[in-house]
Amino acid sequence: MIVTAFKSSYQTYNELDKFWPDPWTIQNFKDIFLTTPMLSFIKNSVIVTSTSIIGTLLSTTLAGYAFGRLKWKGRDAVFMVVLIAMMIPSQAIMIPQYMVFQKAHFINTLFPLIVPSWLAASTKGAFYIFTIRQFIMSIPHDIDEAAKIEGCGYFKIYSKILIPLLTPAIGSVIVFSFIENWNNFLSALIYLNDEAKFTLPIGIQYFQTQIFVDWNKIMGASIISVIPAIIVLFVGQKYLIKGVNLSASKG
Amino acid sequence: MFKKVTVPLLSPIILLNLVTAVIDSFRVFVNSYAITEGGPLNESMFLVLYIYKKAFTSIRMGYASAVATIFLIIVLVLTVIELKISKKKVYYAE
Repeated sequence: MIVTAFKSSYQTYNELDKFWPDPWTIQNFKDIFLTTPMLSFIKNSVIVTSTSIIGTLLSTTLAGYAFGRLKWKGRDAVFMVVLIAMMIPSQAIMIPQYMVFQKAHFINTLFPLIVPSWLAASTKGAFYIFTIRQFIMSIPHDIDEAAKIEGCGYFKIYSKILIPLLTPAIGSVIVFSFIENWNNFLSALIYLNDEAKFTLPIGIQYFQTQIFVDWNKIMGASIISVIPAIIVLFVGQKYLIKGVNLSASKG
Repeated sequence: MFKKVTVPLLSPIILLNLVTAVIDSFRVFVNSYAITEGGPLNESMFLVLYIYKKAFTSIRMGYASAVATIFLIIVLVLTVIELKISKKKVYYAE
Protein backbone atom coordinates (compact mmCIF):
# COMPACT_ATOMS: atom_id res chain seq x y z
CA MET A 1 0.00 0.00 0.00
CA ILE A 2 2.67 2.49 1.00
CA VAL A 3 4.96 1.56 -1.90
CA THR A 4 2.22 2.00 -4.49
CA ALA A 5 1.18 5.34 -3.04
CA PHE A 6 4.59 6.76 -3.86
CA LYS A 7 4.84 5.38 -7.38
CA SER A 8 3.82 7.24 -10.47
CA SER A 9 0.85 5.93 -12.38
CA TYR A 10 3.10 4.97 -15.29
CA GLN A 11 5.23 2.79 -13.04
CA THR A 12 2.32 0.87 -11.53
CA TYR A 13 0.98 -0.15 -14.90
CA ASN A 14 4.14 -0.60 -16.97
CA GLU A 15 7.08 -1.59 -14.77
CA LEU A 16 5.50 -4.55 -13.04
CA ASP A 17 8.82 -6.22 -12.24
CA LYS A 18 9.97 -3.43 -9.92
CA PHE A 19 8.86 -3.46 -6.28
CA TRP A 20 10.29 -0.16 -5.02
CA PRO A 21 9.17 3.13 -6.58
CA ASP A 22 11.85 4.78 -8.71
CA PRO A 23 11.88 7.74 -8.24
CA TRP A 24 9.76 8.26 -5.10
CA THR A 25 7.07 10.84 -5.78
CA ILE A 26 4.49 12.68 -3.70
CA GLN A 27 2.58 13.70 -6.80
CA ASN A 28 -0.28 11.36 -5.84
CA PHE A 29 -0.90 13.14 -2.55
CA LYS A 30 -0.80 16.51 -4.29
CA ASP A 31 -3.33 15.28 -6.85
CA ILE A 32 -5.60 13.86 -4.16
CA PHE A 33 -5.90 17.20 -2.41
CA LEU A 34 -6.02 19.32 -5.56
CA THR A 35 -8.36 17.38 -7.82
CA THR A 36 -10.81 15.83 -5.34
CA PRO A 37 -12.72 17.24 -2.35
CA MET A 38 -10.54 15.21 0.01
CA LEU A 39 -10.57 17.90 2.70
CA SER A 40 -14.34 17.81 2.85
CA PHE A 41 -14.30 13.99 3.09
CA ILE A 42 -11.94 14.26 6.05
CA LYS A 43 -14.03 17.02 7.61
CA ASN A 44 -17.22 14.96 7.34
CA SER A 45 -15.52 11.89 8.76
CA VAL A 46 -14.23 13.89 11.71
CA ILE A 47 -17.67 15.40 12.37
CA VAL A 48 -19.40 12.01 12.23
CA THR A 49 -16.81 10.21 14.34
CA SER A 50 -16.46 12.81 17.08
CA THR A 51 -20.18 13.41 17.59
CA SER A 52 -20.84 9.66 17.46
CA ILE A 53 -18.26 8.99 20.15
CA ILE A 54 -19.80 11.62 22.45
CA GLY A 55 -23.24 10.15 21.85
CA THR A 56 -22.06 6.61 22.42
CA LEU A 57 -20.41 7.54 25.70
CA LEU A 58 -23.47 9.36 27.04
CA SER A 59 -25.98 6.70 26.07
CA THR A 60 -23.98 3.59 26.94
CA THR A 61 -22.72 4.77 30.32
CA LEU A 62 -26.23 5.83 31.34
CA ALA A 63 -27.68 2.52 30.16
CA GLY A 64 -24.89 0.58 31.80
CA TYR A 65 -25.55 2.40 35.07
CA ALA A 66 -29.25 1.61 34.87
CA PHE A 67 -28.59 -2.08 34.18
CA GLY A 68 -25.68 -2.52 36.56
CA ARG A 69 -26.69 -0.50 39.61
CA LEU A 70 -30.29 0.60 39.76
CA LYS A 71 -33.04 -1.84 40.70
CA TRP A 72 -36.26 -1.56 38.75
CA LYS A 73 -39.05 -3.82 37.68
CA GLY A 74 -38.31 -5.85 34.57
CA ARG A 75 -34.65 -4.91 34.49
CA ASP A 76 -33.41 -8.41 33.73
CA ALA A 77 -36.00 -8.90 30.99
CA VAL A 78 -34.95 -5.66 29.30
CA PHE A 79 -31.32 -6.65 29.64
CA MET A 80 -32.09 -9.93 27.88
CA VAL A 81 -33.48 -7.84 25.01
CA VAL A 82 -30.17 -5.97 24.88
CA LEU A 83 -28.27 -9.27 24.75
CA ILE A 84 -30.46 -10.52 21.93
CA ALA A 85 -29.94 -7.21 20.11
CA MET A 86 -26.21 -7.91 20.32
CA MET A 87 -26.78 -11.08 18.31
CA ILE A 88 -28.81 -9.50 15.51
CA PRO A 89 -26.62 -8.41 12.61
CA SER A 90 -27.24 -4.75 11.84
CA GLN A 91 -27.59 -5.42 8.11
CA ALA A 92 -30.75 -7.42 8.76
CA ILE A 93 -32.51 -4.31 10.04
CA MET A 94 -30.95 -2.02 7.45
CA ILE A 95 -34.09 -1.56 5.33
CA PRO A 96 -36.58 -0.64 8.08
CA GLN A 97 -33.95 1.71 9.49
CA TYR A 98 -33.60 3.32 6.08
CA MET A 99 -37.37 3.82 5.90
CA VAL A 100 -37.44 5.44 9.34
CA PHE A 101 -34.74 7.89 8.34
CA GLN A 102 -36.54 8.54 5.07
CA LYS A 103 -39.70 9.48 6.98
CA ALA A 104 -37.62 11.81 9.12
CA HIS A 105 -36.10 13.43 5.98
CA PHE A 106 -32.59 12.53 7.09
CA ILE A 107 -31.49 11.08 3.75
CA ASN A 108 -28.40 12.75 2.31
CA THR A 109 -27.44 14.37 5.60
CA LEU A 110 -24.91 13.20 8.15
CA PHE A 111 -27.62 12.53 10.77
CA PRO A 112 -28.25 8.83 9.93
CA LEU A 113 -24.61 8.13 10.72
CA ILE A 114 -24.74 9.99 14.06
CA VAL A 115 -28.20 9.45 15.52
CA PRO A 116 -27.91 5.66 16.11
CA SER A 117 -24.87 6.24 18.31
CA TRP A 118 -26.79 8.70 20.49
CA LEU A 119 -29.42 6.02 21.05
CA ALA A 120 -26.84 3.26 21.67
CA ALA A 121 -28.29 1.60 18.57
CA SER A 122 -25.18 1.52 16.40
CA THR A 123 -23.81 -1.81 15.17
CA LYS A 124 -21.96 -2.47 18.40
CA GLY A 125 -24.12 -0.39 20.76
CA ALA A 126 -25.42 -3.37 22.72
CA PHE A 127 -21.88 -4.66 23.10
CA TYR A 128 -20.79 -1.35 24.65
CA ILE A 129 -23.69 -1.42 27.11
CA PHE A 130 -22.71 -4.96 28.04
CA THR A 131 -19.06 -3.98 28.60
CA ILE A 132 -19.94 -0.96 30.76
CA ARG A 133 -22.48 -2.94 32.77
CA GLN A 134 -19.97 -5.71 33.55
CA PHE A 135 -17.46 -3.10 34.64
CA ILE A 136 -19.97 -1.29 36.87
CA MET A 137 -20.96 -4.59 38.49
CA SER A 138 -17.32 -5.13 39.46
CA ILE A 139 -17.13 -1.78 41.31
CA PRO A 140 -17.95 -2.39 44.99
CA HIS A 141 -21.39 -1.28 46.17
CA ASP A 142 -19.89 0.28 49.32
CA ILE A 143 -18.63 3.27 47.36
CA ASP A 144 -22.17 4.05 46.19
CA GLU A 145 -23.61 3.67 49.65
CA ALA A 146 -21.00 5.97 51.13
CA ALA A 147 -21.88 8.57 48.52
CA LYS A 148 -25.57 8.13 49.25
CA ILE A 149 -25.01 8.73 52.94
CA GLU A 150 -23.07 11.86 52.07
CA GLY A 151 -26.18 13.08 50.27
CA CYS A 152 -25.58 12.28 46.62
CA GLY A 153 -28.56 11.70 44.34
CA TYR A 154 -28.59 9.00 41.67
CA PHE A 155 -27.27 11.31 39.00
CA LYS A 156 -24.50 12.62 41.22
CA ILE A 157 -23.39 9.08 42.03
CA TYR A 158 -23.25 8.46 38.30
CA SER A 159 -21.39 11.60 37.34
CA LYS A 160 -19.08 12.10 40.30
CA ILE A 161 -18.33 8.53 41.44
CA LEU A 162 -18.84 6.04 38.65
CA ILE A 163 -17.59 7.96 35.63
CA PRO A 164 -14.09 8.52 37.10
CA LEU A 165 -13.89 4.86 38.12
CA LEU A 166 -15.04 3.74 34.69
CA THR A 167 -12.10 5.25 32.78
CA PRO A 168 -10.67 1.93 31.50
CA ALA A 169 -14.05 0.80 30.18
CA ILE A 170 -14.75 4.23 28.69
CA GLY A 171 -11.33 4.18 27.03
CA SER A 172 -12.03 0.87 25.35
CA VAL A 173 -15.49 2.05 24.25
CA ILE A 174 -13.91 5.18 22.74
CA VAL A 175 -11.37 3.14 20.79
CA PHE A 176 -13.96 0.64 19.54
CA SER A 177 -16.50 3.25 18.56
CA PHE A 178 -13.85 5.35 16.83
CA ILE A 179 -12.88 2.41 14.66
CA GLU A 180 -16.52 1.51 14.03
CA ASN A 181 -17.52 4.99 12.91
CA TRP A 182 -14.33 5.87 11.07
CA ASN A 183 -14.64 2.73 8.94
CA ASN A 184 -18.40 2.88 8.56
CA PHE A 185 -18.89 2.12 4.88
CA LEU A 186 -22.32 0.59 4.43
CA SER A 187 -24.50 3.25 6.05
CA ALA A 188 -22.48 6.02 4.45
CA LEU A 189 -23.03 4.32 1.13
CA ILE A 190 -26.77 4.01 1.68
CA TYR A 191 -27.58 7.40 3.13
CA LEU A 192 -25.24 9.79 1.32
CA ASN A 193 -25.70 10.70 -2.35
CA ASP A 194 -24.12 14.12 -2.51
CA GLU A 195 -20.39 14.36 -3.05
CA ALA A 196 -20.14 17.22 -0.55
CA LYS A 197 -21.49 14.91 2.18
CA PHE A 198 -19.20 11.93 1.53
CA THR A 199 -17.09 10.53 4.35
CA LEU A 200 -13.62 9.05 3.85
CA PRO A 201 -14.52 5.38 3.23
CA ILE A 202 -16.76 6.17 0.27
CA GLY A 203 -14.49 9.05 -0.67
CA ILE A 204 -11.82 6.49 -1.46
CA GLN A 205 -14.23 4.82 -3.84
CA TYR A 206 -14.30 8.08 -5.78
CA PHE A 207 -11.07 7.04 -7.51
CA GLN A 208 -12.50 3.76 -8.71
CA THR A 209 -14.61 4.20 -11.82
CA GLN A 210 -16.01 1.66 -14.23
CA ILE A 211 -13.34 2.32 -16.85
CA PHE A 212 -10.21 3.11 -14.91
CA VAL A 213 -8.96 2.33 -11.41
CA ASP A 214 -6.40 4.81 -10.16
CA TRP A 215 -4.55 2.54 -7.73
CA ASN A 216 -1.92 5.11 -6.78
CA LYS A 217 -4.50 7.56 -5.56
CA ILE A 218 -6.55 4.86 -3.83
CA MET A 219 -3.46 3.82 -1.89
CA GLY A 220 -2.61 7.42 -1.08
CA ALA A 221 -6.11 8.11 0.20
CA SER A 222 -6.05 4.85 2.16
CA ILE A 223 -2.87 5.92 3.91
CA ILE A 224 -4.48 9.24 4.82
CA SER A 225 -7.48 7.42 6.26
CA VAL A 226 -5.42 4.86 8.18
CA ILE A 227 -3.15 7.35 9.98
CA PRO A 228 -5.77 8.70 12.47
CA ALA A 229 -6.88 5.16 13.32
CA ILE A 230 -3.32 4.15 14.15
CA ILE A 231 -2.79 7.27 16.27
CA VAL A 232 -6.01 6.66 18.21
CA LEU A 233 -5.05 3.03 18.81
CA PHE A 234 -1.66 3.93 20.24
CA VAL A 235 -2.92 6.79 22.39
CA GLY A 236 -5.90 4.70 23.53
CA GLN A 237 -3.65 1.82 24.50
CA LYS A 238 -1.56 3.98 26.81
CA TYR A 239 -4.72 5.40 28.32
CA LEU A 240 -6.18 1.92 28.83
CA ILE A 241 -3.14 0.66 30.71
CA LYS A 242 -3.09 3.81 32.86
CA GLY A 243 -6.78 3.33 33.69
CA VAL A 244 -6.21 -0.26 34.76
CA ASN A 245 -3.33 0.73 37.05
CA LEU A 246 -5.35 3.54 38.59
CA SER A 247 -8.30 1.39 39.55
CA ALA A 248 -6.07 -1.44 40.78
CA SER A 249 -4.06 0.76 43.14
CA LYS A 250 -7.21 2.11 44.75
CA GLY A 251 -8.34 -1.42 45.47
CA MET B 1 -2.57 -27.83 32.24
CA PHE B 2 -3.64 -25.75 29.26
CA LYS B 3 -6.26 -28.31 28.30
CA LYS B 4 -7.63 -29.06 31.76
CA VAL B 5 -7.41 -25.64 33.44
CA THR B 6 -6.98 -22.74 31.03
CA VAL B 7 -9.48 -23.72 28.35
CA PRO B 8 -12.36 -24.52 30.74
CA LEU B 9 -11.83 -21.24 32.58
CA LEU B 10 -11.75 -19.34 29.30
CA SER B 11 -14.76 -21.15 27.88
CA PRO B 12 -17.41 -18.43 28.51
CA ILE B 13 -15.25 -15.91 26.65
CA ILE B 14 -14.55 -18.43 23.89
CA LEU B 15 -18.31 -18.89 23.53
CA LEU B 16 -18.90 -15.13 23.25
CA ASN B 17 -16.14 -14.86 20.65
CA LEU B 18 -17.51 -17.81 18.71
CA VAL B 19 -21.01 -16.35 18.57
CA THR B 20 -19.87 -12.89 17.50
CA ALA B 21 -17.35 -14.27 15.01
CA VAL B 22 -19.95 -16.43 13.28
CA ILE B 23 -22.31 -13.45 13.02
CA ASP B 24 -19.53 -11.17 11.79
CA SER B 25 -18.55 -13.65 9.11
CA PHE B 26 -22.11 -13.51 7.79
CA ARG B 27 -21.85 -9.76 7.48
CA VAL B 28 -19.18 -9.71 4.77
CA PHE B 29 -19.97 -6.77 2.57
CA VAL B 30 -17.25 -4.22 1.88
CA ASN B 31 -14.68 -6.56 0.38
CA SER B 32 -16.81 -8.01 -2.35
CA TYR B 33 -18.65 -4.73 -2.95
CA ALA B 34 -15.45 -2.76 -3.46
CA ILE B 35 -13.63 -5.35 -5.55
CA THR B 36 -16.15 -7.13 -7.76
CA GLU B 37 -19.70 -5.98 -6.84
CA GLY B 38 -20.88 -9.57 -6.78
CA GLY B 39 -18.41 -10.70 -9.32
CA PRO B 40 -18.63 -12.76 -12.45
CA LEU B 41 -21.99 -14.56 -12.46
CA ASN B 42 -22.64 -13.99 -8.75
CA GLU B 43 -19.58 -16.05 -7.79
CA SER B 44 -18.62 -13.53 -5.11
CA MET B 45 -22.15 -12.59 -4.06
CA PHE B 46 -22.88 -12.46 -0.35
CA LEU B 47 -26.17 -12.19 1.48
CA VAL B 48 -25.72 -8.62 2.66
CA LEU B 49 -24.51 -7.51 -0.74
CA TYR B 50 -27.55 -9.16 -2.31
CA ILE B 51 -29.86 -7.34 0.11
CA TYR B 52 -28.12 -4.06 -0.66
CA LYS B 53 -28.35 -4.56 -4.42
CA LYS B 54 -32.00 -5.55 -4.37
CA ALA B 55 -32.98 -2.71 -2.05
CA PHE B 56 -30.96 0.21 -3.34
CA THR B 57 -29.99 -0.43 -6.95
CA SER B 58 -33.08 -2.22 -8.22
CA ILE B 59 -35.38 -0.56 -5.61
CA ARG B 60 -37.27 -3.71 -4.57
CA MET B 61 -37.69 -3.02 -0.86
CA GLY B 62 -40.19 -5.82 -0.18
CA TYR B 63 -38.05 -8.50 -1.82
CA ALA B 64 -34.96 -7.24 -0.01
CA SER B 65 -36.81 -7.26 3.31
CA ALA B 66 -37.76 -10.89 2.72
CA VAL B 67 -34.13 -11.77 2.06
CA ALA B 68 -33.14 -9.87 5.20
CA THR B 69 -35.67 -11.88 7.22
CA ILE B 70 -34.22 -15.15 5.91
CA PHE B 71 -30.75 -13.85 6.71
CA LEU B 72 -31.86 -13.10 10.26
CA ILE B 73 -33.43 -16.56 10.67
CA ILE B 74 -30.26 -18.30 9.45
CA VAL B 75 -28.13 -16.35 11.93
CA LEU B 76 -30.54 -16.94 14.82
CA VAL B 77 -30.76 -20.69 14.13
CA LEU B 78 -26.98 -20.94 14.04
CA THR B 79 -26.70 -18.98 17.30
CA VAL B 80 -29.26 -21.18 19.02
CA ILE B 81 -27.40 -24.32 17.88
CA GLU B 82 -24.15 -22.88 19.20
CA LEU B 83 -25.73 -22.10 22.56
CA LYS B 84 -27.30 -25.58 22.77
CA ILE B 85 -24.00 -27.30 22.08
CA SER B 86 -22.18 -25.02 24.49
CA LYS B 87 -24.44 -25.91 27.43
CA LYS B 88 -22.45 -29.09 28.09
CA LYS B 89 -19.01 -27.72 27.34
CA VAL B 90 -18.92 -24.26 28.92
CA TYR B 91 -17.85 -24.01 32.53
CA TYR B 92 -19.34 -21.32 34.76
CA ALA B 93 -17.71 -20.59 38.09
CA GLU B 94 -20.92 -20.39 40.10
